[in-house]
Amino acid sequence: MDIITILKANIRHQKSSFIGIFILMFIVSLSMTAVLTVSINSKKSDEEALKYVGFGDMLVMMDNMGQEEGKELIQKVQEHDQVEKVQVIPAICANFKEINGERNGSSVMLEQYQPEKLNFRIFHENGTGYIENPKALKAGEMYVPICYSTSYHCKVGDTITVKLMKHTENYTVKGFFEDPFMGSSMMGIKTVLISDDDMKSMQKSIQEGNADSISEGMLLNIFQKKSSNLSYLKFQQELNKDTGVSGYAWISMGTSQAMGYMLILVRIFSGSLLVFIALLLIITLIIMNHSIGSSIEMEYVNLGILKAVGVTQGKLKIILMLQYLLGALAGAVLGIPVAIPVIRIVNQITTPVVGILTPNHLALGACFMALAGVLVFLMLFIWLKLRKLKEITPVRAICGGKEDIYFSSRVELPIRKKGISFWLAFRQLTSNGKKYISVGVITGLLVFFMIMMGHMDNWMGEDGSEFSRIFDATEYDLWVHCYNEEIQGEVENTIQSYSEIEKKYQIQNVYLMMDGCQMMCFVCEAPEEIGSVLEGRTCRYDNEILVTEFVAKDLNLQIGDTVTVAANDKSEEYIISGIYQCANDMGSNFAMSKAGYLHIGNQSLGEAYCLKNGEKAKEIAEKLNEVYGTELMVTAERGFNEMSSIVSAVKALSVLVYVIAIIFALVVISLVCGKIFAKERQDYGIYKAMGFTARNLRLQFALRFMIVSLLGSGLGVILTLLLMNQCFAWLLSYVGISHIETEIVWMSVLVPIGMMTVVFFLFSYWKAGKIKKVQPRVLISE
Amino acid sequence: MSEILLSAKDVCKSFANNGEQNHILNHVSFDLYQGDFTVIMGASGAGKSTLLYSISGMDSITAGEIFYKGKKISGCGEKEMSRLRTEEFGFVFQQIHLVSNLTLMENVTVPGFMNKKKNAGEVKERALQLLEKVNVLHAKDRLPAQVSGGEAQRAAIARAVIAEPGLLFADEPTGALNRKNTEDVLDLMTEMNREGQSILMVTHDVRAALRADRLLYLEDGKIGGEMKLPPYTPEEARNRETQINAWLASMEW
Repeated sequence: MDIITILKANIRHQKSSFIGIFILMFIVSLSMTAVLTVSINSKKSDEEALKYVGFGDMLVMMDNMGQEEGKELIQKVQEHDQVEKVQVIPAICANFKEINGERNGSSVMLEQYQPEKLNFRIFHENGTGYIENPKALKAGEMYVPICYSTSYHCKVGDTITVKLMKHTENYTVKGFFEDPFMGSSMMGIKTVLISDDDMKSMQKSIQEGNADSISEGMLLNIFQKKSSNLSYLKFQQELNKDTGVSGYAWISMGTSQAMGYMLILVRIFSGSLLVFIALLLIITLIIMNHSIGSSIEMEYVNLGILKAVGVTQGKLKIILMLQYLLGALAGAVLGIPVAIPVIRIVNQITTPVVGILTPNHLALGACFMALAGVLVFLMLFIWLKLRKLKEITPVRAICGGKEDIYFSSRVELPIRKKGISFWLAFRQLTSNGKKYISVGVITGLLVFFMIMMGHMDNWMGEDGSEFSRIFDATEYDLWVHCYNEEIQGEVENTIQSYSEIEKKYQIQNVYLMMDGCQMMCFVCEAPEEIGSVLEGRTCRYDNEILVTEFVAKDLNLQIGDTVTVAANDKSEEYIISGIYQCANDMGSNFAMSKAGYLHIGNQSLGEAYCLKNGEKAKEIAEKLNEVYGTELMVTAERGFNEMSSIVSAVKALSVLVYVIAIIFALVVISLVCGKIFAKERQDYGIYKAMGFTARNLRLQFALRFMIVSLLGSGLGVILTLLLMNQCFAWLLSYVGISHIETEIVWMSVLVPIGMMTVVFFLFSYWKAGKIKKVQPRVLISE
Repeated sequence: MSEILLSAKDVCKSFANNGEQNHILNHVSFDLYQGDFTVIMGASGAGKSTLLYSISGMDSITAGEIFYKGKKISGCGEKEMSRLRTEEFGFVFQQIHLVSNLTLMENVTVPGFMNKKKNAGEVKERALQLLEKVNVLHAKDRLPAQVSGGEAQRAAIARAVIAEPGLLFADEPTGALNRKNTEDVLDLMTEMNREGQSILMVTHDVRAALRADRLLYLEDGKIGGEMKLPPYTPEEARNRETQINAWLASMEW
């Protein structure tokens, strides 16, 4: 009972501390619950959707090979000892040059909508659920992936214009379907569902030779035997070794690999936020540390009196522990239900990007476990901090035996008449530096993260063009692939009419087999241009290749090892000359010279141009498209169309980080100011008696926090210089990048520092409004 | 008769306590004269300190008027009060209220810096002179926590007069000091008064009251009596004490 009475009194007495810790933990719990739930639910729902649709373990998309031509191959795959069954889905492979006027250029697999084979779920128009009995498609109708709603601004009932090479087709969007395999806007290749009639008519035009950049293909949905314990990579290797199935494939992918692509955005988002949450937790600990320390110092006498009247040290510890833990617990508990609407909003935003419907229900088990872990950790931390209670003896406390808080002043800059407020503020700071260390460290951490997010935003560029450089192994301004070789000369003349061509070389991304695994290969006529070689050297000779760190690790390869690379029915052995990095296919790629590629492949390559006047590239691309249209593919923009999703996500994340950082700063200022104010109340009385106005003193108070904020920001800058590239590399490891060198853009450094300094100054000035109420009568001791 | 420095007219001060009004000062009226060393005495809780802080503008009054050098100061704004504290009033408190993270020298110079009429050099020079006068020059670079109570209080007196105030308010300035330090501080104040410094001091210590040339007795929030004395000399201290004790007895002290 006495515990409860004292506890209640303590909480009442230290309301601001209680509220501050409550708010901090509320934010931590809210963000943690939201991030964990979105992350876990999206993974689960993708897994569940893959099963629901009926996907197996490996999907092989065949181009230029119908069921008849592929009969023997299918037979071989079916009879393989690791394969349970193979489902064959007829398909049409196409290249959509434009969709609804938006440049696309990506590969599309047109499949007949037949739920009895692949049971794709169709979204409600609002995208928040599925239609129970979706209608069959009529001629001219399509079910398109949900990402088309944002990427190409499609709505149900819209007529979309699909530009093929020579002509344009119009289709009506009947609805959006959930494609858990490659429905994410992060993936270039897409499946589109069409009617039986359209499928037949396309097949007919292919057979009659009237097809416009479409070909007959099929989808092999391969199920690994349940008894097989091979990893996907090994399974693929075994299967390819025995059947060569991927060698004929347009693209082949495992379910786990596909999930990686599908959830890349969620992973980057969650990864960044989890780091931020960890940072917030550290800040919460720092604040608790400061709060407990100050409370013990300020409540020294009361604690001594409580000991004198028989409250044991153990009881005091329990009371103080409960006092802090209750605030944290209340914040943590409230954060969970409040996360529900946040999760709903995040899911609404991410569904069209990720391509799958993620449930809004809480991942309660994981969230509870995580929060319980955090609370237990906090409990231990508080317990350790409360060791100081041992030092309080009733006699010392009642005699006021605490140390003088201002006993020493290490940095003794003289107080000057000019700018007296600044000098007094500085003195307050240096004479009681320890109390401000926590504020400085917190500012440093917040500024570091704000700089990092701002820098990442800058580094990606407005349209993601800078970010997309990690998807290119070489530097160039314009890439043109002429389908009609006769126009090549004219095209170059057109380019030269805008800008001098400084350099040109051929490059192309093609899918090849490496040691039985299908992988993207960057073929480059000028391998010396590959600038991202991390180890060894570039693939100078025609029997050499470069592999990424990801591939080397996955296939256990080293520089000097020999691998077999195959395309169709030709294969050659190549030596690994170096390790390089490129984010294509999440780092699962390799590179070779054109000379090397010609041993096994014959696909035509596009031309990369380095222009003297690089900024003309977009203008040139528009002109070439206008003049040559379907006869070529040109791009002046790096990466892929859907880059904007990542850029928007990072921008949203930056804003979120800024908002949370400011809220945290406000809570921190509020808590620290409260304690400092209580301690310095008498000094304000003295200063007022000296003739200082409340405005002078408030300014002095706010200046102190501004100086701390600037010093803390300095720490943030140091952390940025030391850790930013590592943090970037960690985040980008999701896309296969492990080394990154970025240059600091000082604007992205100055903005957070300026913002934090202004927030600290204004808020502490506002908080110091209490000084107005302090009258010199606090000095009266009648 | 000396010139009137400060006038209190019908000054009232009340506090509301649980809905009940407590009248601490009840229509107090008196004048203070230029160059006087006035002491307010009274029983504990009589409202001595409240009166001192009320008439000095450190605390607000409930009713009445206060004039300083003929100008009404009651009810004036923070800016004007700040100017008065910086230029006209000096304060010495019972507890040694020095800013704990400033050295003794800085404690003295900071209020001087607030006075716009003097430049930094003049302020520093005067601060050194004052610290020498109050005999703490040797400790000028120490923090308050590093000097004795007497040294700290003497430094507080130096601080109070750095701006050459028209009136020095002292609230039980020897209340927290030992006998030796008490004598030192009182000698210092007496000397300053002889040099022309007007002083208003609150005390309940007869030995401190000896230094005054005018005594006011506060009783139930009113001035209950007044006594005038010739200037203090140590030789007449004993007689003076007897005289004051008799007067206090008549006041039912």
